[in-house]
Amino acid sequence: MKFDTIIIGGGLSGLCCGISLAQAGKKVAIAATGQSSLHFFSGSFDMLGYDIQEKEVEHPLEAIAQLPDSHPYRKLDNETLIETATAFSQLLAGAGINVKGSYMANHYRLTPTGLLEPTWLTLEGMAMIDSAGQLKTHKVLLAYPKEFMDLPVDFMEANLKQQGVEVMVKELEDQVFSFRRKSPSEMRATNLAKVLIDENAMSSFAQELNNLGKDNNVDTILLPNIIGWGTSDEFKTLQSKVSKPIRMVATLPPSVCGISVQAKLKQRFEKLGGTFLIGDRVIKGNIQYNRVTDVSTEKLTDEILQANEFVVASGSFRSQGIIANYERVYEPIFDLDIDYTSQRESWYDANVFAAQPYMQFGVKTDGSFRAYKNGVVLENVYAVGSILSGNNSIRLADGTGVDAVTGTAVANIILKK
Amino acid sequence: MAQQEYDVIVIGGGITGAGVARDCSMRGLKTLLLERQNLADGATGRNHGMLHSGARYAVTDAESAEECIKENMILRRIAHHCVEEHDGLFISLPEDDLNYQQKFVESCRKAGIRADILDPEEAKRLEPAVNPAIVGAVRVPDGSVDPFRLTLSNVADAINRGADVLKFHEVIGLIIVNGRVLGVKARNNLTGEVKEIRARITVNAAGIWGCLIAKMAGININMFPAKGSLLVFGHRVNNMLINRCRKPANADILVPGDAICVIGTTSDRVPIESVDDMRVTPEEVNILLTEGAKLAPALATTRILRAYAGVRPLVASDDDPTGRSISRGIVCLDHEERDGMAGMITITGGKLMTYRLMAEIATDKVCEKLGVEAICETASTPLPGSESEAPVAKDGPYMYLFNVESGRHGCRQPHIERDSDGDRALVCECEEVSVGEVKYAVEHQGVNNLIQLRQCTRVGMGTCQGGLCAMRAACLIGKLKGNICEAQKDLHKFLQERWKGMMPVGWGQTLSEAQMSAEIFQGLCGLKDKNFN
Amino acid sequence: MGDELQLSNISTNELEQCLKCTICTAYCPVAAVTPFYPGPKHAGPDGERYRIKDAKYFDEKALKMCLNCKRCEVACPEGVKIGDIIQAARIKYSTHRPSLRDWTMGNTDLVGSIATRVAPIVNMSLKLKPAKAVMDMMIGLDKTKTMPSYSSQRFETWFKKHALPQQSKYTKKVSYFHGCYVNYNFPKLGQDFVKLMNAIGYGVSLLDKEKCCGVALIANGMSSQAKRQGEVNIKSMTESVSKGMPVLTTSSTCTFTMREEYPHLLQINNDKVKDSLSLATRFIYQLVESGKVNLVFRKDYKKRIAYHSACHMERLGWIIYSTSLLKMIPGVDFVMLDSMCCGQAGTYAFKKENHDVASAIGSPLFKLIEEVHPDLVATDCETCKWQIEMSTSAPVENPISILADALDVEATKALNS
Repeated sequence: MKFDTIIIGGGLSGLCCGISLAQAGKKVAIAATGQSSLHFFSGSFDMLGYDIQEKEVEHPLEAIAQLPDSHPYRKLDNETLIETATAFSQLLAGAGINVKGSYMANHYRLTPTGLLEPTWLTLEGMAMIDSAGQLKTHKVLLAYPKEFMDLPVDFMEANLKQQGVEVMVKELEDQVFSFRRKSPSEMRATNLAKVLIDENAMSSFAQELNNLGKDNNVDTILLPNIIGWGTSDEFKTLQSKVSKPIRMVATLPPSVCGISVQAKLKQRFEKLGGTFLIGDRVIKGNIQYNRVTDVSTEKLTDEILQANEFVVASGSFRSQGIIANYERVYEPIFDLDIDYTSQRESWYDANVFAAQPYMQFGVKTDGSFRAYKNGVVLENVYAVGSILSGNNSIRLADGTGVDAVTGTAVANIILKK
Repeated sequence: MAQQEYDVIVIGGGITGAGVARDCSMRGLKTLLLERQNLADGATGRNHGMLHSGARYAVTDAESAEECIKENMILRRIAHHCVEEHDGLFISLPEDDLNYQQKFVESCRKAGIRADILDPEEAKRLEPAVNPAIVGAVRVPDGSVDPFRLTLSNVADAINRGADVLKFHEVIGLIIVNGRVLGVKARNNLTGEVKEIRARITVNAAGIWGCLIAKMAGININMFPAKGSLLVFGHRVNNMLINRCRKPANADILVPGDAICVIGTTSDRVPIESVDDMRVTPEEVNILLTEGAKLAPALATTRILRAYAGVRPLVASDDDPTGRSISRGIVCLDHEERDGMAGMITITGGKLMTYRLMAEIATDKVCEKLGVEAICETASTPLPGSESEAPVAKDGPYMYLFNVESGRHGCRQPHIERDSDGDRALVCECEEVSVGEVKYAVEHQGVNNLIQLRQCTRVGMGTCQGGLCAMRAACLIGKLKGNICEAQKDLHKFLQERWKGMMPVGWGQTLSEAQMSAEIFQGLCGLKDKNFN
Repeated sequence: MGDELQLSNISTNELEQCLKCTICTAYCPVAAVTPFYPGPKHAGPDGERYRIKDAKYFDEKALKMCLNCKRCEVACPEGVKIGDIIQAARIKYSTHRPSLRDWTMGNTDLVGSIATRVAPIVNMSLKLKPAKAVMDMMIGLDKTKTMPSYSSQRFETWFKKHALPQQSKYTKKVSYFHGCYVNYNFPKLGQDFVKLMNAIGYGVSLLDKEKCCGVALIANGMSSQAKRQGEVNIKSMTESVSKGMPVLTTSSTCTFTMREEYPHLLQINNDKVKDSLSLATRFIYQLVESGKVNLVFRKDYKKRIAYHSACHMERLGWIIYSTSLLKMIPGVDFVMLDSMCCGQAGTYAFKKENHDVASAIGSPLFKLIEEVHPDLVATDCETCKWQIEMSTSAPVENPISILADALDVEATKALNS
């Protein structure tokens, strides 16, 4: 089988790259080992939330200019960064994903524990606020299905109150979930969202919210993100039936809004003619004269998958994009060069909340994101997303941004070739 | 400064102190147990959790071996909900001297320990994980014991019988008048409050920290702090305990317990100043893996969940640099007789296995000093949870969750609420801990924080090491105790404690797990150090 | 030993790779509709740690609800064989003997061979209400289901009478593993296969001895019988392969079972045949792609075809083959349906106790099919075909039948002779 580009990894960075290439008429295949990190999605794409001193960032572009050269963003000049960020917003719109926010200035998302985190773009319907001060003026009703444990409601209530918000907490005893409650383990956001695809269930759910809202003097209803599994826009449906404005907060995984983003991007990619190989692992590549000619996968056993360019978007440790063992850190498909320190003890900090050095480990790339192997650049192999070295996405709050920006940017680099 | 009168103050909430507190209470003494941290925080919670048959000591220390087999049989009766009776193998590898096996079996039998020589093929059939190169194997009645459950059951029984227990109360001084210990000065480590508490006699059962307590009375006990490191693997590789049939050495015991197995230990002398913060070094990990893989080759490729280290409270008698030639024997010091300091005794040495006997010896001494005539009944009185057989469900939806609970709580399991959907819902999915079980732990087992909850229920001890359950559990404890602020701080401590164990083995899926945990708590939820201060 | 330590982690069915991320739970069709199935994570890797400790933690009734669709495995980013863990536990710990109903369901070939002899009577009784009520009561078959009817002439009989004589004129040959469905219920698919293979210049022969692949036996708790049958199949296939004849099938489930489940669940070594055992669409696609075969299609063939990804087809990772072939037909308006389980899962949906679960699982798919409103639904699995035909207005065909129908036989023959 022959493609223009083969992308390894079907998460945010791989899909951004794949969609951008397919839009330009390229024949693209994405091979994804399994489902992606979007299943832990917060509902917001972060460009840069904190600078290197761990100070909150107001204007991402200005702060990016101050980042060390090793950071993936620094491979792009300011103009390209703006172009790419804009292209990504358009890409989301094209896939039917509506967001609010701008790269000009960060806003805040509300976390599941009731804290505010600076961010770039937030999905429509998810709780967000322009400045921390605005929060004080709110009177909110925090409603959640009884026995739903994947939102730490008490923490959220306490932390919101501490920030001056008037919060009222109500358990929803709605009968639509009574069947689900019988499962000790599967009272999860995704399963609740599946229940709410049904129109009758949704009406009854809306009715209960209206009853709660009516009796209480609140301006917003906060809900865990348990709406949005289906193909129709269920959040809009719910809002149309409920008189008070509703905002959702991300839950502990799996993330309903993240799965929805993943599904919409994948649909968009396939609609553009892309081939998505789900549940298949690229196991090795054939390298000749510093070029990869083809790769093979676990399941297409006797197939040679050829392409002009290969994009590695297979993620960090958790996604098996890079693997650490007792002796070293390596990239399992091409054995690309990895930026890391060899002494295992130096991979960690004893304080779990401190910057963990291992978080920055990743594939070493040149100025145009081409990967190195044995110290030499592979001419047609690019790395994008969290497999890249040089950023600690936990400290900087830049994970989804690096995925989106590098995925989209590399597509443009390939198209310009 | 408040004054309180007790018959006995027991210092140290490890298994020894818990056993002494129970025994004293059973003999009608008004008892106070003091622990500076959580219960079972020292060596009690940082060992193999092995139910020794005594076979390990049969050749080198006949006295310990005999004590072990007696206590082994007693624990099977009085604490069967804490014990797994799976037997153990003592294997000989080609490099081991088979003559030792003969000597070993003879010594075992002399000590009253059943020891059956098995054909290596038979041994491999019984325990498929064992090194296939074995040239000999002996089956002995080893087992495993959950040290947390055992300690908590002893404490629970002591409380039932009128004892008081103060956790997070550290003894910072002794009240000494005219060459007699009249009580202790204790600081509440949570609030900083200091108070004097008086008792007719004080029992020093503080493990390795016991020498520091003695020092407060100007008494020198020459303790030998011997650090032992262990590794926890992700699932039970073996279902029978595996030992090396040779003179005891590093990493030659592999113990299956609950849903995991543990290899250990190393043995190194450490300075007494360092015992509060033991960390497992890469060299120790290497020794444990290299030697462990000789017992069960699968360990070389099995995921490691965490590493931990404890300090054995051995009383030194010579300058042996390994500490292995020192007897694990029980040491009971009557300081009146030994040092002319009345009102205090020290109970130390020994091991998890012989805690009950240690408690009996100490309590006998206490009774003698106080002139109380009461016989010890701890060997025949079952601990809470073992008064009758644990219930087993054979049918019905989610019957296995019922069985996991009864495995942990024994016949007390029916006290756990499981009538409503909400009570049956799982907080921790790896170790199957329900909301009802957490409620029971908080309301009936004195649980105030996540570490205590972990000891009662195994919350956070499974594959995810708290990544997916710590938030739920912290929030639930906060709600039940009505202190959300404290619960958030507690979550922070718990995550630190879990990471401490993961860090020394931070590669493979354990590193992936740590990364995912960081993504959830610090990324998604936005928790930072500053949120907890 | 020292230098081999902890370079990789190995565990049965990759149990230890599980990070407890819960992604699989979002894709389980069973957990989505019933609270009494613990979900793939809990029934699989979580439960397994306890089952290793003691068989008393084995919950037969709960694990029996697993469809074995393997969608959890496809979703898992860490490569855990979740479905295999569950099925292996059923085989290892089950103490129940199969009921008469399960025995009947499992023995698809024995029952089939009796039924085809008296097909008109059996078919009538399979549709009659009183007979269904009796089956419902007596052996627990769901009375609202119509069992697939039996053909009065077995495929094997047809083949020997009408096709065998012509096959000797082809120098290139393949063996055909027709499976129970083609033999007893739907010989037309086998006939279409022969037509297509002959048109591209391949002769077809049957295996020396063919037994049911055993998928229904495994599902109904008769794994030792499945193992015996599997060994017969592997022996016949080995003979075929040694004569240079690859073995082709037209059923994704039979193929999946013989390639993947034989070694994993039944401990049958299939190394000698695995590479030569393939789905017909994969075989044909590879011939076309390498230029060895050319297909010519009828100009008057115009159809809107929606492709349904059968669970085992997705697990095989071979959807790309069938869909690529269908897309080659110029008159086909191709629609890719979102990947969802139909709820049939072999014999699962025929059982009374599974009725509600099975219909609930399939309903989103049926709704989608009605919305898309295709002329035909294409799928590689025969049991999906039953379920979709029973539950929607759309006729369902195997891609092989569609290709055979759309093919300009004479023109194709002329190009490939």
